[in-house]
Amino acid sequence: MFSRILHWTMAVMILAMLFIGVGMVASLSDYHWLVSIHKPLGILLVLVAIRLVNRLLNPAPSLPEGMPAWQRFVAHASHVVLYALMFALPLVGWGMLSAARYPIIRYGPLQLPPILPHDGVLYAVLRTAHTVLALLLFATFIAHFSAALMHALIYRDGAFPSMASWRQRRDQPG
Amino acid sequence: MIARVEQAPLQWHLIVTIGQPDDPTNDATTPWPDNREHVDVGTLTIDHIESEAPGNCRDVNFDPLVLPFGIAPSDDPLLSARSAAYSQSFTRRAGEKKEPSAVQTPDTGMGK
Repeated sequence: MFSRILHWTMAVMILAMLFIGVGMVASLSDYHWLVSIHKPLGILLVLVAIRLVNRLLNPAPSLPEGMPAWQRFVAHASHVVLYALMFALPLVGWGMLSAARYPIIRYGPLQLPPILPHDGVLYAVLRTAHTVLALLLFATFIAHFSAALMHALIYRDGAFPSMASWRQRRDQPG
Repeated sequence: MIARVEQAPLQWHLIVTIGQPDDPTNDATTPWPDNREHVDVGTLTIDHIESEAPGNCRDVNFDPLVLPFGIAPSDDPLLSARSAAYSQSFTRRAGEKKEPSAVQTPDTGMGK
């Protein structure tokens, strides 16, 4: 149950993050309030760390039997890419704000310390990386979502309910 | 300006205009009535000039919405628009190859 709460909470936050991200860089009058939602959502970094630990302690249910090897490979690879990007994006965001010496996520008078030296070129590179990685995360999300729908609607093999159902998972998954 | 500062320091007064509750803060094109109270809160004195350089002003974004704790922005939409445009221009500027400043001053000499 904990894994599912984490999954769906983060799914909502990450999607919000991606859309707020593309929205804010394209807006003028809404820029400030979108940025002020976008930056504190970087708390996702904490959630993804908890999630990785949880995943290592409670391995994901096994994939449905009879699934072709290439699909198993793609399923595992896409999860690795998703985890890598979920770590990379907030870290690159934190790093790029550090390199530009912007204040980093402020909760009242509290703010995060910079994690990189003040360097304009470094900032510019990380800023570009942040966009590229975000688009990559969106593409990976689409693949992940499409695969989930494929399992739910076409294969009907039990892979989808293992994350989407709120009922306790059966002892013999799949 | 470089020549004028060499002759004598330049000074500006920082005047704060105290608004009344109904004065518009979200439209910079609407002037407040002339009879609002003005307070001279300080004098800005420029006694020398430095050209852009690292550690000076070159690698910083002067964003009007990066504010110290305790100071809140008004509802003026120009602030957000400036913040967005400055962020964009700062990002482009930051990634450029750094050349010595095009403006040189006697104080700083060549590209300090």
